Amino acid sequence: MERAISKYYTLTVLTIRAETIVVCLKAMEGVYSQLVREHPATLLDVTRSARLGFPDVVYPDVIRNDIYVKLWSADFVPFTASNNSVRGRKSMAAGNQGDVQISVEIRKPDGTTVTDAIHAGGSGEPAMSTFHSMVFHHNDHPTYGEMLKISLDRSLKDCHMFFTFRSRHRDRSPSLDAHELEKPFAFAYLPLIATSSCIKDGEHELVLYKMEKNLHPSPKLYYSAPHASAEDPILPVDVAKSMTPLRDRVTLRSYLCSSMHTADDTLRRLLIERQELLADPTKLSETLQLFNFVSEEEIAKFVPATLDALFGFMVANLGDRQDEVDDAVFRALVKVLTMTTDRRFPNFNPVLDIYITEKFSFPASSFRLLRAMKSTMAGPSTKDYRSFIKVWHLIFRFVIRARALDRAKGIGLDATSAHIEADFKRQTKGILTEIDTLMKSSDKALIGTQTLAVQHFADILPSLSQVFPALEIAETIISFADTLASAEGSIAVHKLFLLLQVVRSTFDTAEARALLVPAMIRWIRPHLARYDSGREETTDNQGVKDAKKIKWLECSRIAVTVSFTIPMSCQLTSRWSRGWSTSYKNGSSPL
Amino acid sequence: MQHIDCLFSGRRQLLAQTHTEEELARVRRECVSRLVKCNVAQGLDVIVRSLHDGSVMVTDKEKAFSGTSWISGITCYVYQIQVCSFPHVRYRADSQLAYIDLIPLDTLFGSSSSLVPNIKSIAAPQPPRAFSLAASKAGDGLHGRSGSFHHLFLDVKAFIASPCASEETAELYFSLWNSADGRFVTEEYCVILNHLGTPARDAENRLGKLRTLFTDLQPADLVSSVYMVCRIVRNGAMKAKADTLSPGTELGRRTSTMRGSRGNLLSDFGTTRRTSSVFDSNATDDSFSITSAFNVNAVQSVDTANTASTCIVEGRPSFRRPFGCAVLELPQLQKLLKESEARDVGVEFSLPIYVPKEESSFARMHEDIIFGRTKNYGKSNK
Repeated sequence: MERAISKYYTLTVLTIRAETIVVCLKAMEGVYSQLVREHPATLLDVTRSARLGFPDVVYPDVIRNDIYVKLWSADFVPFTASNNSVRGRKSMAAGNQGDVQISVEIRKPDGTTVTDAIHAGGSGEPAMSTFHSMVFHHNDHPTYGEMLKISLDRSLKDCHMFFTFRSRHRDRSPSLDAHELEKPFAFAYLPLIATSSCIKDGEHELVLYKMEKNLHPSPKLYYSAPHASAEDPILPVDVAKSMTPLRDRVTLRSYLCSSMHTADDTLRRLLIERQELLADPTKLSETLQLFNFVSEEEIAKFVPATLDALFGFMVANLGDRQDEVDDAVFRALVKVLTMTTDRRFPNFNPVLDIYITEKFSFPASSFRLLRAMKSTMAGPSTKDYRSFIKVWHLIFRFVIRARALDRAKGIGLDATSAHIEADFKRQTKGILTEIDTLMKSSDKALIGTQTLAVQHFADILPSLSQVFPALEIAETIISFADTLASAEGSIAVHKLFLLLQVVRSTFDTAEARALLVPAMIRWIRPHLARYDSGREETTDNQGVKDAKKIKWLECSRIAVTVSFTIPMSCQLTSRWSRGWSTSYKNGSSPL
Repeated sequence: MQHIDCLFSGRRQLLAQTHTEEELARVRRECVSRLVKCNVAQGLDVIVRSLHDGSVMVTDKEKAFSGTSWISGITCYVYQIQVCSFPHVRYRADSQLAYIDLIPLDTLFGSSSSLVPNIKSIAAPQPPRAFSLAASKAGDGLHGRSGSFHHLFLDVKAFIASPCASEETAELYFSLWNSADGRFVTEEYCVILNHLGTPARDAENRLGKLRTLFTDLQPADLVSSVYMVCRIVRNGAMKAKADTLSPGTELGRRTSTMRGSRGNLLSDFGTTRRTSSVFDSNATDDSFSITSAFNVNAVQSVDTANTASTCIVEGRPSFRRPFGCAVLELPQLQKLLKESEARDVGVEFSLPIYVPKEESSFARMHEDIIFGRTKNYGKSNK
């Protein structure tokens, strides 16, 4: 009764004294460093509160090594006569359950505490060595919901969290001195990082071990007992002598946010256990197969390292297994590069650019890549092929960059290098011919792949222009676009877009122009003709007719754009150019 | 005439050598574009110039001497056409920046596939979505500016509550919560205040500067139903001190404690503020008075020297105890961006604090408040 009254009382008093928090908010947009320069008054020296997780692909120079742990809830078995022996004297002395305070510290394997590793919440206050949780009054199943940020030093290779549990019941009898309260009744631990493993994101339910009198729990001792277990854990005999598991549990949620450690086993194996994998090609192939399931968000943290690892496997000398490994590496490579179109990673391209121009150093990979491309292209109806087409401009960039590195290395060996150069060009051309063959195929099942090829053909032109003279590129374009003469539907639309890009990118030399202009006219003429209603079949209903008409309109509009762009790009100061501009200026828009 | 003036002042700025590299580059750009604008205004020929140093673009590679930039004749011609053909469009586009400024030179010199992305805007109306392949690609190129994200700047102006007795502290944990996904978007920004509502640590320097920037947020993080959550933890005795005293005596005690110190006018930061009508006045006044209240306290906190720590005080155990929670629904991002643009200091909000009747529900309080399940929580303002 008395307690009930005091409870009510507390409430009213507290409520009166809690009103509002006044804050000012300001949303900003842009690059952080630039914003600081623009608003030095507000942003200089301001505390940064980080996002939980990386917002994008991680730049090679960004180092972040945080583990967020949410102390979620705990479950303390209430005191009854039956588990008297389990809970022990301490609990009896307390006479009451609940009111448990959890203290957390980070320990090294030798049992020493890592100082200043824990931030309560995340930012704002200085780091601490020991964190004390909230205490919930008379609560056996408290839900804490307290966030900790554990910032780990880069050099720290192995550490774990160590928890101690104290009963913080407000003792009515003053006979118990403060020191008595400081004794924990139980402990638990959770490994964070070790050389060969890393904490998995998600929920962890930890077993509490009884803190015996005179027991100094050292990692040597408790590491042989399981840290987490839903059921009653089984302890090795020698450990069982000194450690007693309790039925109490504590639940944590962890989230790794690190540019140095990965919780993904497949990725870790590829990045770290390189030598072992090279010694065992079967395991390597298996790992590469599994790479397909690694999440893109995980790869995003390690893009340069992943690419390095993949290329490393490609140029390794694995004898007759090499081709098989190459194909697997190539699929993995395509998976990584496909992230370029992923909206979640707008920074992928800049990071890739940095990698290709500054870090990439696998000159021997060019021929291996070409070979793998060829082998992928052997199956035009496969999904691999389609994924490859979407990123083939990037693959070409790698091929050409690798070749350039190789060339720089092999300077002086004229006869051989000339031979290699010729071989390289021949093989690259082989790939392009392969594409033409695909386009010529009339197999209905290939239409999807063909559309993709048209869509992405223009992407490789800038790379090719580094190797081939403009004239040869023009020839390549002509031979490709000629396969599209009878194209219809969306292929036609993409064809016109391709032409538009060609006009903008490859019209710089007179020879190429001379070759391309007549071809251009040949390609766009059909689209500028009168709408051929005769092609409509009488069975079509109105909807289909409309769709066809809209598509035709669309094509003709792009065709007009192309033809309008050509004179702007060529120095054809003739009647044609003037004619177009005047008609446009007079307000009669091309449509 | 105005152009000439601008060019003169630009010249002075360039010669003054007081600018940083970036500012210089900006001034140079402005001058070059001004130059071109002058020529157009006088009906003279347009010469395509480099925006970096104003030198004339050369189309012949062999003749390009050091200091001039080379571009292909075609591209040069394209630019010239662009500049000449549609002056009125350009005028309206932005009177500050000149014509060629609209063409990103980076794409010109880079190995980008589409050399003239802007030409599309002249040549063709925007293609509809389904076919906007080229358009989306060009757009991506512009979007790819590295590291451009949203940030949310938070300035904690005042904490109008007094959850703790003297030598106790209140810990405020601010974070962003996405209620659609049911997850916290950011880590928590922690502020520890003493019983006067001033920072417990380093009060002199940090007063009025309880600020943080929630950095690098993705647009998806802020799209909808984003809340700012503030969890409040009291660090002190197991039970709030107040329950051992009646409110009247408590106030009296507090006042008497303060009497000895300087500036006791505003000593009862929490309690006096509540009764004052400051809060009913409009937003600008109110922000001012709150800041000033803080400043007065600054003098005082030096005296009281309440540097309570989060650790347990030896001999006298202090506990972290759940106290309350406050939630604010963030306005639409675009709206907030616009308002932030307009006001330099940011937009002010006040968050009512809820106190749980059952402290066990503390961890999930913010969700309960968001979904309106507040009948188990006390809210004041009475």
